[in-house]
Amino acid sequence: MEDFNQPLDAGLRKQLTEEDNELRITPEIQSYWSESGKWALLQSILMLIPIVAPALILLGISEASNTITPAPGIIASLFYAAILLMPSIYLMRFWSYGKRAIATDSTEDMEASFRALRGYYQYFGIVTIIILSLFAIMFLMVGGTLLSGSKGF
Amino acid sequence: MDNNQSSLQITAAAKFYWKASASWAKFFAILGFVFLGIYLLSIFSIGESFRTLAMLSGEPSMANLMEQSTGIMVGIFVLMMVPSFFMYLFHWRFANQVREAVDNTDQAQFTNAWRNFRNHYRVFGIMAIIGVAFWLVFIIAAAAAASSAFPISD
Repeated sequence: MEDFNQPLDAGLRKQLTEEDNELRITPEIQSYWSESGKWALLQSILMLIPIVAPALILLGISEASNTITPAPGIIASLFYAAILLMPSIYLMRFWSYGKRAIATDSTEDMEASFRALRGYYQYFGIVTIIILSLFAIMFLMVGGTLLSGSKGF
Repeated sequence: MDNNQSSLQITAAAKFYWKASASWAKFFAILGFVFLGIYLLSIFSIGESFRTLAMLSGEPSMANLMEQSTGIMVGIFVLMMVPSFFMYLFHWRFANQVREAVDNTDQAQFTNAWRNFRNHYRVFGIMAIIGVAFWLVFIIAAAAAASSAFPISD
């Protein structure tokens, strides 16, 4: 038999305080966080390929035939390392700290995980802005050269 | 405390990191949409140039073939764009929902935000795996072609 002899707002206060109090990392959110971490790990590993591949390939070719120097490959690797190495490390940290935070319920590890995610976004975002502005400058320079060239005729 | 609730404390620092990540996520989502738009425009211009080439070739059978393949090519490219669009959409939603959840202490929106973050990464990961598989096939095929064209000799 259901108990009707109670105030209409019974249980409401408890619900309200629970909901309005603070955000919670529920088990559902933990599962999203942990799966995202695994995909982030995949991304971080894929980001290492452009760093390692050019140097390795050109070193291999120069080993086989002594006429080619591996220098361009090493320069390409260094260029990609400048762009991709830090974001890759940040994503690995996001994954590893996240995994540990979920396993041990550690707030510090949770903070470290999300700090790494922020670091990844920030580094990659700034690099993206720099590359895009370089492209814009290049376009303007090419356009300017074309325009001044056409004026010359 | 409930059994199904973790004791992870939401700190001010964590909220700051979420909001900072959300701002950048929004930036990347917008950038993605812009590039998707540019790709879409360039694809239709490729279709146009294909048609022009087909007309210039003069050969009716060739023109016909190019005309048909243009449609298929454009179709394949557009098909490849669909997952990218959803990837950026999930990123965009994550950005907005995290901001809203943190500002209004909205637990439901907080859950949605991380679901969208997971979805974003899921689409990205599956696309990356397919991309890497294509690259591997391409590299193996190229290596096989190269080794048969230039057999290694002393």
